[in-house]
Amino acid sequence: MRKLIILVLIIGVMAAGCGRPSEEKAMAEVARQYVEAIASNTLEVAWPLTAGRQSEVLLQDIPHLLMRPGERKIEDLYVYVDYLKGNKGAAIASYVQTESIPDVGTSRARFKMVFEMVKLDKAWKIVEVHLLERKGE
Amino acid sequence: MRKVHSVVLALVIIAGLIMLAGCREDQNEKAMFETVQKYLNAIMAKDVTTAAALVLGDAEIDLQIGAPNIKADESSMQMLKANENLIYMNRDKTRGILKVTFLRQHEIQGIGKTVAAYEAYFGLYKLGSEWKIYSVRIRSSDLI
Repeated sequence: MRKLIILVLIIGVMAAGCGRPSEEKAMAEVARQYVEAIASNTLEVAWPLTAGRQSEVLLQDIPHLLMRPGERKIEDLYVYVDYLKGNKGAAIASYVQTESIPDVGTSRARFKMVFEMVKLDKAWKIVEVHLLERKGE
Repeated sequence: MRKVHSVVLALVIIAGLIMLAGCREDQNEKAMFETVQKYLNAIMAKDVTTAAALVLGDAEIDLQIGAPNIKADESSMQMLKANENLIYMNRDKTRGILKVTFLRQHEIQGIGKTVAAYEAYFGLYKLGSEWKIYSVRIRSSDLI
């Protein structure tokens, strides 16, 4: 009987942990797509990845984003989930952005960003974005 | 009996480790709250230099933008009371969100004093051994 209880407990813990990797993968993918979309000005990709506060922030930022001169290229993008509880979580993205502006020049910097997320209707959405670090390279 | 002793010893060690982990989390929360209190006191005293040492990322940019207005403000402010509540801490204990409710006394010379309640969410990130604020969101509260 004792062995059966222990076995049930082990299976229960494993089952609870099973869903985590797929959730984290989904969250990381959302953050990844968002970083790439903002850099490339594909706002039709970025917008559906947001909800709540970040949707409002992005809406206000659209004119500024569309009028930005030059091009941005993302390299060395690494995303990991540093918090996940139920339908709330956060991912950290680290990447190098090279920005080339005609007649001005090129700048290169490493960014570290936090993406606060919630799961709505089976999809992870970004509700807040914050800069943690920016270092020129 | 020897087997019982081993089981009891193992349970005591596990309990001790759990308590230790809890203590460490409390210490982090305490350090985070101290950083926030220093920041709020610095802002209210218009000490932008001290506040700047406590921020990074978005909060650093916001402070740079807001610094001229903070310095130019001739009114005086004082924090009367503050409470904190840890919303969450990340897995490595290097980042967390703290909810802080505080009372601020605001005095304008020749006009008078008011006291208002605020509710703020601070995002903090641990660089080395120091907690720094990377995001600040403050709103008036309905506490009063």
